[in-house]
Amino acid sequence: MDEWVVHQRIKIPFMYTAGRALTRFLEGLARGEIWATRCASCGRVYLPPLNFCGRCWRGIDRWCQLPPLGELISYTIIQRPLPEHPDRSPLILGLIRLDGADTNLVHLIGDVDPSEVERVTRVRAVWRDERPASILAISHFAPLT
Amino acid sequence: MPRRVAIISTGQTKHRAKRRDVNVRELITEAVTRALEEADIRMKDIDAVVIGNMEPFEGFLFPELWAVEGWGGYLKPSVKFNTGGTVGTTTAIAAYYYVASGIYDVVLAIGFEKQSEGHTQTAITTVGDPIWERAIMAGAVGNFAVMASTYIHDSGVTEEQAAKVAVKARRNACNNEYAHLQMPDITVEDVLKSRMLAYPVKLLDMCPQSDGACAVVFAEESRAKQLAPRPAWIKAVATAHEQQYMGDSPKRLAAMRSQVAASRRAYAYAGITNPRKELDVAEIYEVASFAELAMYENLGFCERGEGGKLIDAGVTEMTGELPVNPSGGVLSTNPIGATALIRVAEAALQVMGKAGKRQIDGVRTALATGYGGNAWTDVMILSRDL
Ligand SMILES: [Zn+2]
Repeated sequence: MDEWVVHQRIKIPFMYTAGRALTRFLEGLARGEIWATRCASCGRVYLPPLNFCGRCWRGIDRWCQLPPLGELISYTIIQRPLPEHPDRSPLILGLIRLDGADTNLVHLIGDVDPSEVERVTRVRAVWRDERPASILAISHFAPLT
Repeated sequence: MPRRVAIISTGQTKHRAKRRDVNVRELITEAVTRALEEADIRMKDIDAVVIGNMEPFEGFLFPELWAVEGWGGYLKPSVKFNTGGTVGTTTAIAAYYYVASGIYDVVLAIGFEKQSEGHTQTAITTVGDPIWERAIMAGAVGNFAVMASTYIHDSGVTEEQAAKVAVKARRNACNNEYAHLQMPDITVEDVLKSRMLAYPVKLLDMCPQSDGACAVVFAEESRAKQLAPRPAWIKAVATAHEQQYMGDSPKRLAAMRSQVAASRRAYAYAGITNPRKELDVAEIYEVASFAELAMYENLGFCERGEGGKLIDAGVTEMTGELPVNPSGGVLSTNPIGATALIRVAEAALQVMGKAGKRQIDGVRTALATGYGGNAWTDVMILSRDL
């Protein structure tokens, strides 16, 4: 007897409320600004910004603008992007520590040949001309020369 | 021997159809902060956290992940639960087990859901057996209507009697500042005239979909006595599950085997022989008006086929012999991952004498139930007496 398999498919549309802190973050991106928050108790600078420090268990209301500059901590080159990836091949994914932040940001690294990226240490955000209220307001990070 | 365990505090969000003012993390923090403030403790006093949510009702997996900073999970012992409608009571019972076992002294239980952001009915559809039922069944209402229809046939209960349950819930909810649907002027007529969804279930017979969160703190005996003037002691917990096929559903509501089994087991642990007399209040997981009537029978509040008469006689009203769902119940508030935990929290508030305008006088013993996955039941019995 053949093996029988039932093929099914469901579609689940969903949305995600940004909330109080991230709304301010997104509005900043649309203006070409990167905003983080700093916990008054432990001093940790959260990016993306949180309005609550779970480690100190207290609210955070101090905002600080970070420069669009940082260090390329690590990277990988995705040779076969999935349909869900932004449309670039090969794709360089970088782990970026913006100056002043205590957390890292994952974004695309561009304006550099994949074979050269190992030499890159400092990067800068390259903003789109039309900036959405999204992390994609930053097109990619480029080597700082 | 398990250690003695009590609930020492609870916290809830304002439950609404849409909480667009907060994200998942901020929603959870709202409930957790209230529960900690109520017990006058800090997050560092919590030894472990159990968190419950019915994914993928938000439409994506692990909605608790990006919220860790907001629920106290950061580097703390924690486990996440998902058991469908029962998730809130499962989470509460897990917290009880943790403390009763002696492993942790103070445990925080959390339930949450942002139903407005995903597509609940589509997600529910995937619980249909892929070969046997999935091609025919979808969502919750149709499934439930088949059960209600059979219950009407078996018990002789009427649509008017079910409508009275729907009215009681939305009126009781007016005394609950956290409740989602508050309808002070609702009438039996309104329910009967509301849009027919699937016979015999009309719009106002069904529970809403809500955004909300609930948090409950459990503590062992000495900590409980130290932290709460009047803790709600847990006298019994019980769970019972059964197989899932909808084809077996007619008897699931009219004679819900898992609810009968779990409640009888819990009554035996707690030494209860006449639940209607010995319970002072019940917070039950009534997904629809018809379900509450059937649950009166299944939980032994009355004889078989007498559920309709119980509501007619006013026994389960705020002023009755055994008030059911002073909070307004699931018919008024339903953030699924929190819903059953809200039953536990509301039962605890009644025992602790902290239920505000919805307080029933002199509550010593309270029942909370969870219901989900079509026929799964959790039961918890709380008492003022150690
Ligand atoms: Zn901090």
